[in-house]
Amino acid sequence: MNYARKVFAIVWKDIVAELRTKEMFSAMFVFAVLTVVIFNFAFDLRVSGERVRQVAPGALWVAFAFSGVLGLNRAFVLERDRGCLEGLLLAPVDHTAIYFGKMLSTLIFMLAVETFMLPVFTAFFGVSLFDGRLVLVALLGTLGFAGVGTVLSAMTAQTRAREVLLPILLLPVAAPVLIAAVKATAGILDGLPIDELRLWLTLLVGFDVLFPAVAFMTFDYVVKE
Amino acid sequence: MKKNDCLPLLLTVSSSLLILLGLYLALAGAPDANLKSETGRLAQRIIYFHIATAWVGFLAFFVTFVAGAVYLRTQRRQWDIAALASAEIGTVFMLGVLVSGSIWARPAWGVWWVWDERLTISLVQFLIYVGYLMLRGSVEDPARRARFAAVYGVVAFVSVPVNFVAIRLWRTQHPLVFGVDGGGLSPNMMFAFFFCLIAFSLWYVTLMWHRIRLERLRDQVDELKLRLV
Amino acid sequence: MGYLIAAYAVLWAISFGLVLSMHLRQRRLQLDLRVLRQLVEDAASSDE
Repeated sequence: MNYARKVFAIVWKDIVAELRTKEMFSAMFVFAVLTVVIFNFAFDLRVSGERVRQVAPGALWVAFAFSGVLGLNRAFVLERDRGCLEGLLLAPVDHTAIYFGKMLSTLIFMLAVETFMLPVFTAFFGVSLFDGRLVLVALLGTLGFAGVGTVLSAMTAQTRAREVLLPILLLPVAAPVLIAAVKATAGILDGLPIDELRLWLTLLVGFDVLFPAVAFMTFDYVVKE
Repeated sequence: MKKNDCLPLLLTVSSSLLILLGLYLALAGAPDANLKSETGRLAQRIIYFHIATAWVGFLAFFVTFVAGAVYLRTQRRQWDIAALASAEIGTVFMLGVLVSGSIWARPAWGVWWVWDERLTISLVQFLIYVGYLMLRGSVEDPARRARFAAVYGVVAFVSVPVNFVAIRLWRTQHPLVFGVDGGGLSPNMMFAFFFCLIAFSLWYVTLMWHRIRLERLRDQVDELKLRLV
Repeated sequence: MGYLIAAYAVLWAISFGLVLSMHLRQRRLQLDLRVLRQLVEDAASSDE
C-alpha cells in the first residue's frame, strides 16, 4: 500500500505543480500544433481528401511523439534543476515508485495534450478524429512511449547533453510504438473493422507490458548515486 | 610476454587469412546467380560479405547487451570495456552493412535505398549504436557512464526484435514491388555464405581482442595520470 | 561490375579505417604510458 501511495504522491505533485504554471502543457500543446502546421507546408495539404487522409495518421503521431519528448524532458530535467531529485531519492521507498509515478504523470500530460489536439486535428485535416477506438490507440501508444521514455529521460537528464540526447535515444527504441500506432490510426480512419487492427493493437499491448517490465528492472541503476 | 603475444598474432593472422579466402569464394569460388543481367549476377556476389557483416553487426550488439547486463550485476570494469568495444566495432560493421546494402540496391533494383525489413532494421540498429556511443560520450563519471550505457544497452537490445516484428508487419502490408533477395541459394553458394559468416565472426573476435587491450591501456594511462596529480 | 568493386572496396576501407584508428590510438597510448611511467619514477625518486 505504501508503494502505491508514494506513486500517487509523485503523480499528484506533478499535476499540482503543472496546474499552477501550465507552462509545460502549453509548450507541448503549441509544439504539437506547430508540428501539424509544418506538415501542412511540407506535404502541401491544400486539398482535403485522399492525400490528407494518407498523411494524417503519421502527422498526428509525429506531433504526439515530439511533444511527448518535451513532456518527458520535463519529467526529470526540472526535478534535477530544482534539486528535487535528491529529495525523491532520499525518501524511504523503492526507487521504482519514482519510475511509475513519473511515467503516469507524463502519460497524463501527454493524454491531456492529445485530447486538446483532437479538435485541432479534426479541423486542420478535415477528417473526423472523434472515434472511441482512437482513444484506445492513443492510450496504448502513449503508454508505450512514456513507458520507455521515462527510463531514458531519467538518464539523459543527468548527462551533459541533456534534452538533446533524449530523442536520439528514444526514437529508435520507440519506433515500434509509432509504427503500430500510425497503422492502427490509419486503419480506424479508413474504417477497417477491429479485427484487422488486432495485429497492431497486440503489438502495442506487448510493448506496453514489456518495456515497463524492463524499466522496472533497470531503473534503480539509473537513479542511484 | 611471449605467450601473451602468441594469441593475438594467431587470431589476427588466421582471421585475415579466412577473410581473404572468403573474398576469393565470394568473387570467384561461388557459382553465378540465376539472374538475367551480367550486372545483376556480379552484384549479387556482394551478399556474401554484406550479410556476414550484418551478422557481426547484430552479434556485436548482443554482446554489448550481455556485457552491460553482467556489468550491472557485478560492477566490474572489464564487462564495461567489453560492452564498449563491441559497440564500437558493431557501429562500424553496421555502417558497412548500410553502405554495401545501398550499393547492392542500385544495380539490383535501380534505387539507392529500399525500405525493406532487413535494411530498415539495420538502419535502426545503427542509430541505436550511435545513440549508445553518444550517451557514453555525454557522461563524465566513469561508473555512471558504464551504468547508463548498460541500461541503454539492455533497453535498446530488447527493442530490436520488437522493432523487427513491427517493421516486418509494416512491410507485409506494403510489399515491395520487387522481391528482395531473389531466389534461394544453391549448396555451393551456401558454403561460401557460411564460410564468410565464420570468417567474419573470427575477425570480430580479433577486433574485440585488440580493442579491449586498447581500452585496458587507456585505463592504465588514466590511473597513472591520477597518481601524478 | 563497378558496383561489386565499389561494395567490397567500401567494406575494406571501413575495416581498414577501424584498424588504423585503433592502431593510432594504441601508439598514442603507449607513448603516454612511457612518459607517465617516467614521470612517476622521477616523482618517486625525488621524494627520497
